[in-house]
Amino acid sequence: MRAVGIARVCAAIAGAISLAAPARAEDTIKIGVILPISGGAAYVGQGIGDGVRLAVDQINAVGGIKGRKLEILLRDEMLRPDASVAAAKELITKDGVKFIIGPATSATSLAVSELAKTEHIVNISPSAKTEAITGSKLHEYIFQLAPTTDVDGVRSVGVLNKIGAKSVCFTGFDYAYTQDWFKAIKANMGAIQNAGEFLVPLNTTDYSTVIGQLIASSCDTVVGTMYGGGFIAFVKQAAPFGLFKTKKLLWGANTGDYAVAKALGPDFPEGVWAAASDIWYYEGSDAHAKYQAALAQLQGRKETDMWPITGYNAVNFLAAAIEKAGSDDPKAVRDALEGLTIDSPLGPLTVDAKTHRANSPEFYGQVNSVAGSPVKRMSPYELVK
Amino acid sequence: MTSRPQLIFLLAVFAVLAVVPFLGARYPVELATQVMIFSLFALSLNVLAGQTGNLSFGHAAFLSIGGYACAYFLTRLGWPLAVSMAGAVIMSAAAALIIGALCVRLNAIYFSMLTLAFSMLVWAVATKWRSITGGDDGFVGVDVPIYLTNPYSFFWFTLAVCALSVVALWILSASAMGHALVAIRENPTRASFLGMNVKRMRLAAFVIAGAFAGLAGCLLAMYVRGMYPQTAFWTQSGQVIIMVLLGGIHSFIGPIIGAAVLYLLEVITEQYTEYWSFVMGLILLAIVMAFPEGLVGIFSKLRAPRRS
Repeated sequence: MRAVGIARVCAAIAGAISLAAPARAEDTIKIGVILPISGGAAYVGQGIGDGVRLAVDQINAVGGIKGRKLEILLRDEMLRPDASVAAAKELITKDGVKFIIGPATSATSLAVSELAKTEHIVNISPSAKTEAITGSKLHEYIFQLAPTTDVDGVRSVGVLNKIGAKSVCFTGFDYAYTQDWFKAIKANMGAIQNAGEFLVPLNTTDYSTVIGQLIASSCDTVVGTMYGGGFIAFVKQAAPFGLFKTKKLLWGANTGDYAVAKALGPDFPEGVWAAASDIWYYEGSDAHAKYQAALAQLQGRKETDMWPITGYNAVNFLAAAIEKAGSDDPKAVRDALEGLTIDSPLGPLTVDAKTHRANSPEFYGQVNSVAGSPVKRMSPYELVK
Repeated sequence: MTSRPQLIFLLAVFAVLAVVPFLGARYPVELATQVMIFSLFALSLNVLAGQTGNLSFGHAAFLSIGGYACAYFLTRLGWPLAVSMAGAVIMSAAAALIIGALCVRLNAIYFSMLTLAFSMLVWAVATKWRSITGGDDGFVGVDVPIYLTNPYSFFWFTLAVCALSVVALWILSASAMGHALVAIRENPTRASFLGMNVKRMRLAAFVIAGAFAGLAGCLLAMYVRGMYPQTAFWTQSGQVIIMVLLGGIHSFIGPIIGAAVLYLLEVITEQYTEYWSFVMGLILLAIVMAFPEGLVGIFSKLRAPRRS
């Protein structure tokens, strides 16, 4: 009986392994997509995923690439680098994926990029901004589409000069993005005075101390990075103290996105300067209008998110590179991506051949109430390239 | 904790693992490597939770310390593999000695909460100490010896390390010290009256558990080619507790079974649904409500009627 029991256990183990055995190969071009689709950043992953789906649907609708359709294999990065690497290994070794889009965040992106380097897999990072991805950790197979924090820093100084900032104080969650972005701003802000840095631990919920410090500071402009629920809590706690009436604010962390405006509703402070990868109300080109119409249909609402454009551009870069390379060999696609230009909804976008960066344009603007809009939005705004 | 059927099971598991590289596909090799690392991590926790009766909510701290130390020694200092691994284990054991010296003074939930607090302290250090750990971005790009860059080589290496660790932990579990730890778990007052230094024994168990968790962390850092603050986060400690509970907390093989089942379930479920967390919640619910002795407990219950 004991032998039978052991045999059953062995059979169970073998069964588990066979469940994970390679799937039947099909004549599609498989794209591994690793995004946060659960947890606190799920809306980011769902947004980028929508962009990926839209681009893949559009390409497949016209016959795919040289007759081969694109197939999305979506995995959850869980905001964990080890889980992201495990998902990437599964996609590569079980499904034979040669191209990976994602993950979305900096730490997970760096982890998967490292795997792409050793596995010789093309990895396009659509949204992560850390400079390290294509800076100190640059390799042949990684491509970064989002503007890096050093580019964000230069663009932000442009906004600070535009709004007439004379003295700036910095606040935000104490983590890599904040530190890198602030460092880039400080390196480029010239005559603008640095009035001090008031950071709070990541995901703090009580901002009373830092709000007091900001109000007491001599700065005329506050540059901040709290995001998500943290930004909402900060705004609700700072408003009664009149922070938004006494200081100008420039906020990073994609505060100009529809999701933030919708979450805060009428509480979103008027006059905050913010940034977003995309805005549904941009009317600068027919290509953007066409893209927005298709996205609105996919998302079921006119007020679309900013994240889909990052996934949309990633797929279109990949498709254009495969087309140009004439094959799905990762090495050939990698070579094709270097220096490649696509027509994105926001105009021509090029991956620099040396740095592997596209530094996608972003919108900067002042969030205000606009007649006819259900939520506050950036007005005026400009597309910064 | 140990028994002859469990020994036979372990031999069967290693026999199955030895066949995996010959299945002709790389994915099972990768999967088995991951399962082995997490099994070793779960086994290390069971020295504390199962054998000694002290449930640590912060065991991931030692996984993380071992991982970061290994990454630093291999990559920044360029130390040889054996020295780096030994250094990582020593670092984890030293950290466990310091943290454990404070934690073992407390019992039950107070012990658990203190381990959680220290774990979050380690997480905070990992997040802030950018020059050593890489901060939020993590320690990216661990230099693995060239002979371990091949996934099959790394599989055999992991299998060897895990096999030796299992043997060491088995010997510990079956030894007089192992029985003394069980006695402390069952009745610390009586054990104390019998002349055992309960605090010192619990501290020894804490250090051993920390050292093996550090070894698992070292393997993880080499496998992932990096180490990240999330590894020290409380959710990682929570996951390994679920692994131990799922397999069976009062058996030697329970954590191995729990780690394998939970990890495989996670990987397979995740391929079909984004609601893995929901599945994890259901599993936890089922364990607590219906199978407090875990999967090993189910096997034991199935065997019991046949005997009678």
